[in-house]
Amino acid sequence: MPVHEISNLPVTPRAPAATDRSFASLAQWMRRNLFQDITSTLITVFVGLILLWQIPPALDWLVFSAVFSGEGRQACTADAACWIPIFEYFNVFVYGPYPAEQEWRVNVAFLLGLLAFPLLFSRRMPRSLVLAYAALLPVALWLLLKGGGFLEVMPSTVFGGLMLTFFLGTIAMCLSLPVSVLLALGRQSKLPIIRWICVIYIEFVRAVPLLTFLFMASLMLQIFLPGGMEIDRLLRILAVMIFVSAAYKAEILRGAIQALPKGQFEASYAMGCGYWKTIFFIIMPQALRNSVPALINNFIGLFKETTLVMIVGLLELVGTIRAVFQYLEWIGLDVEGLIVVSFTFFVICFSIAQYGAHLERGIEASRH
Amino acid sequence: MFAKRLSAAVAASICFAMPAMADKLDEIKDRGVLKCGIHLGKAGFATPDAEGTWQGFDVDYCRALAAAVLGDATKVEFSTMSSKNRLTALVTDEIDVLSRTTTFTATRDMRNGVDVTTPWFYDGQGFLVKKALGVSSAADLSGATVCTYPGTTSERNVNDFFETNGMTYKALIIEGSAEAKTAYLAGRCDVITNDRSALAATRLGMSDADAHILLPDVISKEPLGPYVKAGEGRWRDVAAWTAMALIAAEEMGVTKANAASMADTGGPGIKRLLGSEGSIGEGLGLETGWARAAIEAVGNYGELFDRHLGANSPLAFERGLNAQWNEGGLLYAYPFR
Repeated sequence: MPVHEISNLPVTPRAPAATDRSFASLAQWMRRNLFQDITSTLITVFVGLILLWQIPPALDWLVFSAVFSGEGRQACTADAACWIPIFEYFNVFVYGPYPAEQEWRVNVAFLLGLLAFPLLFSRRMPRSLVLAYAALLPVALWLLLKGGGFLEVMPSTVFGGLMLTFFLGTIAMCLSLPVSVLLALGRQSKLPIIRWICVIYIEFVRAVPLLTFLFMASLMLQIFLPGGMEIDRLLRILAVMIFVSAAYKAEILRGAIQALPKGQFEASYAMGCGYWKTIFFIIMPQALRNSVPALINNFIGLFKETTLVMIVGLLELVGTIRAVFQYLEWIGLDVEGLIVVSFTFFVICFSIAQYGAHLERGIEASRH
Repeated sequence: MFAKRLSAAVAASICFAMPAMADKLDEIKDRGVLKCGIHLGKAGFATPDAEGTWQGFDVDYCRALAAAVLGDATKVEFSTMSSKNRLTALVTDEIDVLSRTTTFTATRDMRNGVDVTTPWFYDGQGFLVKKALGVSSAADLSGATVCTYPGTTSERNVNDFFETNGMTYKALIIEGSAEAKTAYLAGRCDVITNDRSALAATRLGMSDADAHILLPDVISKEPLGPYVKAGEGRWRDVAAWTAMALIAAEEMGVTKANAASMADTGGPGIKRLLGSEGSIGEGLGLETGWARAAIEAVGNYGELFDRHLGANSPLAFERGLNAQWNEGGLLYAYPFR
């Protein structure tokens, strides 16, 4: 059957829209989706029983019997969650050891990060403004949090908690994309030296685990550098995250560029556009659109990889939570801490995923 | 001829490339802040409090050292170090001193470009068992299932211990202390083995802590203490003697509260320690009141121990090997004269 006929096949009507809330339609929906035949009925009943069996005790542990306030460890009970340390240590989780009187800088940094979302989601903002914001955000975060100029310079040792996770994640995400564009273009360059440098770089970086690079940055780099010269610990880790992540992104972009019909290049050259104009006005916009799902995937992965910096002694959110639950009064409550970590990461990664979905909807709309 | 000239030139350039470095002690004094490497989070030794400030037995050693060298216990910059990069950080001058429950071993002292100072805490491998088992000493553990970690010295120590005592055991090898604890609580093993300070913390984290006991037996030697970079003689002396001063202070009965009055009223030994007589501080390249500053900042060794690990802490770790030499322990500060 030719392709166009497949797409013209009659589509089974969708379930009634959620706005129709009558009982009849709910029953109909359930019959169609949950109890269509014996197999699906059995699965529904089975899953339903598991949920009934697991959810009430879980909710009871998490919320109903849980302890939310009180004085010290004695207030906790043995068989329910104890959220007191989470509230008590909230500032430590968010700001790490950052000095209290400078915490406003972290707040401003978070605000700048949050502000990116309405900018990114708005379809009316000029693209150039959004791009400029994404390009300036890492610089602004570095100056704000590390200091310089009229702001007091902060040592890297005061970076910790959610703020460090955010700092590493955001800067690495913003800066790895432009690097990856250059690498992807370089890999397809007609100049052999540039092409080979990019190929070797990408293949080498992809073949070595991120952890190894983190170790090298943390341990070996300092040994090779001449005495007295020191590169900031955070800078070294950031550079590793940016350059490793860029190699993966470069391959995503290369795939997207290669998927574009040759005619796009030819037409652009025929119009008299040079290489850079072709790349930046014809090729990259299309390639970036096509690679949105894969890039978002990579961004989420990169954000979660920030937790690896614990191995070189930096305490990001997970490390901070683990350290706090070594504090004698609260020792052994790691589960509560890990739930908070999971929730925080879920919120952040889900937001990134939602932005990806938003982009795809826009792209989909522009195709019709 | 050419090769000779070339090698001479290379040698010269290497020499010139080496910056004229002041010694570590002067460098710290010039900088005005002590860079101290600590644990990522270990109960009693280094944990953040609700303000995000580091607290603990190892942390307070750094504060004492800062007080001794710079006269101000707050002039410390704490860097958290993983077990992987802790020694390298000393070699590359990222930190001045490593106070991170690191065992003194021959290999580390000789090969890694670092020097040991003086033991700060005598740890050792021990056993945690359920009280219901009715065991009071490791000698009763024959036939037990022991939870241990793969490929670590602890696995070998357990094996040696049971073999030398002619006892049998079954090893349950588990990666990670949280997993080991879960397995133990689920009854998959009768005993967990680890360093005793860590076991005390594990026990405290159990909801039924009172149903478990830490056996008194110690089956390995784990002298933990501060490390410094190799070849920094003066700085090593300062790091070692600051620890000694806190230990000696306990022996002599000098506390955080009475250090000021003892400096005037104490015996000659106390006066030498606190700097009101003699010139020990001068010999170390420090102020005369260096030890007094350290003691007044954090207290003597006994006060520190009680606060973070012992009687006044939930860990309730007994002094054991960490008692003074005249009370059955190993703490033996060299004479201050």
